[in-house]
Amino acid sequence: MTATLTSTTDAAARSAGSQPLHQPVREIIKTAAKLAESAEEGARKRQHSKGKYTARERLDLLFDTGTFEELGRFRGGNIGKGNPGAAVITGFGKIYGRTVAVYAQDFSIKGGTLGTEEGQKICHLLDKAVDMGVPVVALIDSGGARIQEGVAALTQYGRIFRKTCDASGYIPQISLILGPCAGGAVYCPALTDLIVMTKENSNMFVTGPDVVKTATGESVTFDELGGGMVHSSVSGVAHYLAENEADAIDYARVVLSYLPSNARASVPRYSYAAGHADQSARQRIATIVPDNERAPYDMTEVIRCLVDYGEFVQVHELFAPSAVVGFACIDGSPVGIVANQPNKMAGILDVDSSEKVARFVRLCDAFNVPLVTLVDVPGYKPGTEQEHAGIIRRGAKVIYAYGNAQVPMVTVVLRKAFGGAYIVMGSKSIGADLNFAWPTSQIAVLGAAGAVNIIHRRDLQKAKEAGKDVEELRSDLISDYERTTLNANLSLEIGELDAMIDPEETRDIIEHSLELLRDKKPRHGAPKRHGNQPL
Amino acid sequence: MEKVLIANRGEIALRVVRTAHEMGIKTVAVYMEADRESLFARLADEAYLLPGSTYNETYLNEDLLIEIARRSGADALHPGYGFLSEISSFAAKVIAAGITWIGPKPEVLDELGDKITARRFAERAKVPPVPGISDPVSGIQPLLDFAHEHGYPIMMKRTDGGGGRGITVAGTDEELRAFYMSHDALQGGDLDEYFIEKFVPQARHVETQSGRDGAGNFTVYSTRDCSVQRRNQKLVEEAPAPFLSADVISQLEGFSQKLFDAAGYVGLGTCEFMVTPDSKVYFLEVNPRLQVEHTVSEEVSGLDLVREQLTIAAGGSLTPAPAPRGHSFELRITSEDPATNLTPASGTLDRIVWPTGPGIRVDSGVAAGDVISAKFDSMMGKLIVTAQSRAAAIARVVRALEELEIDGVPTPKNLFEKIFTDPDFVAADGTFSVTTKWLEKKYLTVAPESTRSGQPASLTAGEGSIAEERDDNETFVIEIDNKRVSLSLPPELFAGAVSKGHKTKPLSQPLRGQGSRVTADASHAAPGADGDISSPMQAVVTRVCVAPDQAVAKGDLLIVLESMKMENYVYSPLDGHIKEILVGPAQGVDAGETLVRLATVELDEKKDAAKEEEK
Repeated sequence: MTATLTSTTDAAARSAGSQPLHQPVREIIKTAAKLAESAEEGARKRQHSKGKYTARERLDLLFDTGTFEELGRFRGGNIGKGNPGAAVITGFGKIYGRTVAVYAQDFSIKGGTLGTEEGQKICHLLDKAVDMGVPVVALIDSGGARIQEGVAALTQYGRIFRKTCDASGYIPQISLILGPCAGGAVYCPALTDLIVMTKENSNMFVTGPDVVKTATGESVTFDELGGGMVHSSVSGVAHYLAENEADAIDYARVVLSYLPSNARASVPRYSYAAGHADQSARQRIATIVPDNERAPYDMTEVIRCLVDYGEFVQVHELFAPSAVVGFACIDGSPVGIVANQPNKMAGILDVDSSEKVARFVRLCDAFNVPLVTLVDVPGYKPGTEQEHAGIIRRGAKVIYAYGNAQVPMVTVVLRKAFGGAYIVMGSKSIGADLNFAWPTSQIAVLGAAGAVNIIHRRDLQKAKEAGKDVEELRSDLISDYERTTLNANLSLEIGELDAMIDPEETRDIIEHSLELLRDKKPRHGAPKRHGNQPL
Repeated sequence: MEKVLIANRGEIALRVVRTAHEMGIKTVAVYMEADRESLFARLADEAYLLPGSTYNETYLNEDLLIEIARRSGADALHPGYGFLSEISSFAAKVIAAGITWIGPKPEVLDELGDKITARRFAERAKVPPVPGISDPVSGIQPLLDFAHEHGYPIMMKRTDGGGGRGITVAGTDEELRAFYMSHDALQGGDLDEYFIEKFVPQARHVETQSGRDGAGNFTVYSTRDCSVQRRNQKLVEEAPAPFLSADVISQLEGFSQKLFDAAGYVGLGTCEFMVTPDSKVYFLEVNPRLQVEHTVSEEVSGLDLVREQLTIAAGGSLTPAPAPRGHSFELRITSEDPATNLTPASGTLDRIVWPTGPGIRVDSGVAAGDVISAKFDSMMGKLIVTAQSRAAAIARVVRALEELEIDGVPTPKNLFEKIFTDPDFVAADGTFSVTTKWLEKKYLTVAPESTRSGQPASLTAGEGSIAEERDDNETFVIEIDNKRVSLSLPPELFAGAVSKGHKTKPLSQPLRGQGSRVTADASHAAPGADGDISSPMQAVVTRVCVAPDQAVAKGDLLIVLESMKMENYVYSPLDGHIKEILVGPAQGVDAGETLVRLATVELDEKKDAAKEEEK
């Protein structure tokens, strides 16, 4: 038997009689309810046949149950004439208990196109989100600008761009592409912090296959031109490729749980009790990185050994795979992790991985997420292809990102840290707070063979003239260099490394360092308008 | 048969290990790293790691599996379900390696493997499929003719579909034309991958769990009804299929035997049929493997179907099925939320308490603390409930559901409670009106909550909502006049009473699990059209591991490259032999430069092998 004591007003209402105490509703008002119902019915038919959810079903998946509050439900509609309103839903709801703003384009109404009403609804929402300091999630599924409204529709994109820029860096903004997103509309998500696409039904391009065909004669499908896979792996436009809509929405919910509501708030903290699994992970970490410095290994395994529950939420997982970035928690506190991936092209920095790292570091710095950098990098990628692709200009973005970051930064060198790449990957000189290295790490300007060829050019030349075995001398010199120079001692002596640590200690050291740096506050520099970062 | 290798994971691998142990047969498990601590890997006599993070590198890695079978001395291989269980080329490889394949022979898999060849096979065996066109269609006219002869709606099904994927329904000429336009083979579409069937709007899904041994003995272990489905995926199954006339039952059994005899089928399999309200029986397909719902047949036949499989594969005789003893239900316990029409949800399993007591069997592979990911199979386990009659079994299900407690992820628990008290389903008066669309029509039409926004709640109060009522109340057990009572109080009452040790629940980190590990692997990129394997990067060749004309298998190491002082491995993306090697050690290569030319045996398009979740 269960007796439930409910709130007094309910109890009073119940005791007043069997009829609930409601105001009578005018008949005409009921048409609105019917209209809402039939609109959803229509949406269900249209969307489900394409394997898509309706905009309102998506809201149910996005928010904690029963927390959605809508703004302007029937705005732009005509209830008497059966027009349920604009092709975008706006409002607020809760994600893991925290308020988040949303706009969701409704493809079942005028193809989700954007006209004046839609633009104004979205701008109003963005204003409110900034006022309240809460993140914005955009669920995109739209045919683009409403051509019937002409330039009036286009100007709305301009307004949304401006407001998005305004909000950028103050509140997190995430865009989910759950249908078409073409033309100028692509820049609404492009200006936000993260873009999530799905494997099917998700497209982004500035000009569609038809225009491409007419203009250039090139035949290309929607997916080849701008599908989820292309943007996640080749262009880097999308940060996560979701299995389906539910997965896309889950990813957005989870990523927001690592970020504060706005740049003035601090990151959430979670309860965490280290257990047996953490002990065994700590032991395992040393076995992942091979002794042979030429052998590759999977950096994500190292990361999973270092973080709570082994949970590492990657960003840009399929793009520029020689670097790895993503969110995790250490002792219940969210951190951003940046690492090289020796499994892919030796973990080199190239134009793509530079931009991947730079963008993520900026994201973390904007939202008070401390940065942990794990270094195993052989250098910047050489070659004409890279130089011509702008490795100077684009590689500089990593430096600008780290060089301006004000959040707590802890860096651990696991194995290799050579040349310029050593300096940019969160070294102390560029602004990290604490640097550590494993005892086997090699920190130098360049690898042994290259160094010997330069330093001992004359010796080698002399040996050659004297008719000695040059190769033998060279290999002696190389092993000598490896023994004496290719280690972390110089970095220790000049204070660029704070300590050498055993692999098994890594998690504890990072944890203690972050604790130490918890109250680090941003310092304001020269009174400039803004920096002029390489773009 | 002395040692069996199980080329599968999770619940089904565990299922096979258990029976093999009872029969004194040694077991060899294979596992990928994420499954290292799984029960099936722990309970097997031996277990071998499958290195790699994608299914293609692990559970679908045919050559590696055969190599492990050889290494471990296994003389038989059980494929489970999903993965490689229906891949005839794999079955052939296993047999060629001198290992007993536990399943029907490769030719049978080919014949019954996809729905369209199975249709044609059934027609030859004089078993009627749903009216349709069994041959690939190339023009719009045959489609229109068929639709006009049999009436709309008609259904276009992809031959390699399953589990509700790849089905398009057309209700009008326009819809049919639209379908044709977007799939026309002449325009590079995939129309020839489809076959056409009349859409039967109201029918039950009934199947026979059949078996046939090497001597030609045939038995139907039980019939099953699997009509309670969502999105063409089964949710509740029962055996025997209830409320069928003797005539229908004999048709089902007769058709099944005809199919098995005509195919020379040796092993266990399921014949699926549609039964219409006017008792017409149409053949759907044969599933040449063990199925998720085999459990209910075991319960009512009293037999161990894995034991039957192993016995038949070893050349023994099957056990003729006795008359069904009682009635059994299987409930698939998934992480799906009835409030969102059973959309898979994710979360961490905080607590899981399975029911116990008479007539209850639980097959599950999850434990408290596990992370359930929206990305993967949502089934957490199966609850099988058996009693002497259908009515008694229904009552027992209701009792078992009261004992079932799962916290952390939503489950269909209260949807099951509705189903098992619904007169359509219970059919106390003998009129059973459940068809395959029943669940969706009756219970999965929950409108999103936000549909009601902007209007007074009095107008929009949801009726018959199956969303779980959220209960944040604190419950205490007390005695009033020595009578045990549980008292439930809203948490606000304790707001001031901190001293009682009542504090706000600390936040816990939401987890997505290790799901992100399974991703596309670029190093196994497909070769160019002419079998060219090109360098993924600018690098220096350090080793060439193959010779011209050498035969290579998918996944074999071809070339080692060095770039930026790091070795990079180039593997063969498919089976074939080396036609030409264009590079040598110490040679520098550019990204995209051809390293090796492969001649492939054939680009053996594997049927969507990864369809782990069976229909």
